[in-house]
Amino acid sequence: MSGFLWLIRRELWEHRAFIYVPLVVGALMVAVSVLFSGEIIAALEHAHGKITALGEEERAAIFSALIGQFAVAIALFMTFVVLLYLLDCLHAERVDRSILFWKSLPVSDAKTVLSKLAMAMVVAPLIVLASALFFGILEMIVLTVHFAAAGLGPWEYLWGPSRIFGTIAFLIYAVVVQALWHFPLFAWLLLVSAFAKRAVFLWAILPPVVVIWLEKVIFDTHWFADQIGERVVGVFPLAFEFGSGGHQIVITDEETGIELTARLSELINPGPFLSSPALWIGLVIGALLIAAAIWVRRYRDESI
Amino acid sequence: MAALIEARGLCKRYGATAALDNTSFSIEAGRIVGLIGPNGAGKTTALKAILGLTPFEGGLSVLGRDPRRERHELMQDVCFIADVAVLPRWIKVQQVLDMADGVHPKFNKGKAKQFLSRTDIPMTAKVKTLSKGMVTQLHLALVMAIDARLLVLDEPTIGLDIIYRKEFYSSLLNDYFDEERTILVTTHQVEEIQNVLTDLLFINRGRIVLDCSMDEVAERYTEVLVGPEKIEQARALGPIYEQDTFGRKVLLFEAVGRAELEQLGEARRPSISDLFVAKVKGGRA
Repeated sequence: MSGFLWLIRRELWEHRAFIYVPLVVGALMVAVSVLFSGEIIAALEHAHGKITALGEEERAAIFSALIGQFAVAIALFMTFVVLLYLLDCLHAERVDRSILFWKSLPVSDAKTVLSKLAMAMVVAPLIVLASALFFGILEMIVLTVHFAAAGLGPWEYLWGPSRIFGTIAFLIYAVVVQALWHFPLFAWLLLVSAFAKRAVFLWAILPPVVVIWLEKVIFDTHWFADQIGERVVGVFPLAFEFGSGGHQIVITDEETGIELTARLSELINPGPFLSSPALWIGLVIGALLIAAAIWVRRYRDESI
Repeated sequence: MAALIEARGLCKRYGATAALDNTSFSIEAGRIVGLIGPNGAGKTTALKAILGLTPFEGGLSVLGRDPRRERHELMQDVCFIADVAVLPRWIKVQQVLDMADGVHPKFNKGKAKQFLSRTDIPMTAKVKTLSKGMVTQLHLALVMAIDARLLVLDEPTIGLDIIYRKEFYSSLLNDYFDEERTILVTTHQVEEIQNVLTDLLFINRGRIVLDCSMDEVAERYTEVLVGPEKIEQARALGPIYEQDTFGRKVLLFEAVGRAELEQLGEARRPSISDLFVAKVKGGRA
């Protein structure tokens, strides 16, 4: 197993973006709050009456929204890092022929491909989680100063009501369901990366586009396109309980139209997700695609 | 002891051309074998088959394993240097040592460091900042620190200047090779390894055209410098190859008595390259 951790380390050495993209995104967001301190304090003073009138639940929503906003922003950028990485990782080693060095080590092709999958499914989500929490807390510290300057007690309005464990539980759940849901997409990109001689982007995109087009021409339907769309964003309605439960507090600000959720942990709704055939079919397809990627890396005839 | 590598009837085609055409050979432990052939003769394909890098037909056992199914287990006891370009360019010297230490049970990091300390390679440098010669030194340091039984070298010194080339083979011989280990090497520069090799394998068009030890070469093959007056007499003995040098003919004989040949002119042991040309041209005729 320690061998597997070395493979992960090796990926992080080569692909620094996994580390610095979340750092840059998080740092920029905190920097914006620091730079616009004057404006934020003025806005807090302006809304002083409204904020003091908020109930406990509503104050808690401020914290959840804050962490959530960091998680969403960092996850968004990390998605690009992961997609580019998956398309590149088994292709670049063939282009620069370093695959011959990697294959001279006693590491199986299965282990190698799984280490790259683990970067997308485990390492990237962990980094998103850790950096969202780190920068979220850093932002809270900045806001502590802002609240104090605006005459609002930071403990009373910010830290006290925060539901940190519920929020962490929510984030963990969110990254896990997302990784499981996206698994077949990741596996497809890895297979393309292992297989394509060049133009990995085209290889990744063209086959699905052709299938969609053929379906449209032959049957005049769009089932496959719907499946792809579901696969990209469909996990949210499936795995989370939005609005309908009534047990979560939603603050609606009429002026800005922002909705905040206080108890993020109550959005967790694994029942429909786990019982959805789409999840399990996706996992099976993903596993087949990964097996194919391992097979291609194993038996592809590389020129020495 | 059973052969280290046992190949029986290897076949591999790329489209219409046969890279390996029912090729059979075996390599004993403790030898330094030169696999020599013209471009496209099947050298590289044979090495790839041995290393489990390509599918093929036929029977092949390397250290008692089938490289098609057991590549990664095999790599615990087999090292290879394909050529100087394959170390990943982004990796740092320190990282490549750490990585090898982490995943290779027979890698000795201290040994590799000791070897590197004799070079000008800094531990913090990235491979892409090193010269070609340094990359080869680094790769050699990695390989020499692995307690492997078989080392496969495919054109290991290509593109290197003469100093690095000399150092490369002297390091291998002095610091690495012993009777427990086996080295299989391909190269175009036959001259620079002919004093290193213990065995020769000539391959042409996917077939082995010569398989013998260097001692057998000396016994079996004789080169004779023949003056014009004895040339017909010499030709009657059936030379396998004939070439001109400075007005005299150089004839290469296989399995002809030394005493008889010495009557014709100055007899000597042929160089590997002359033997190679004779065997390969003979095969083409």
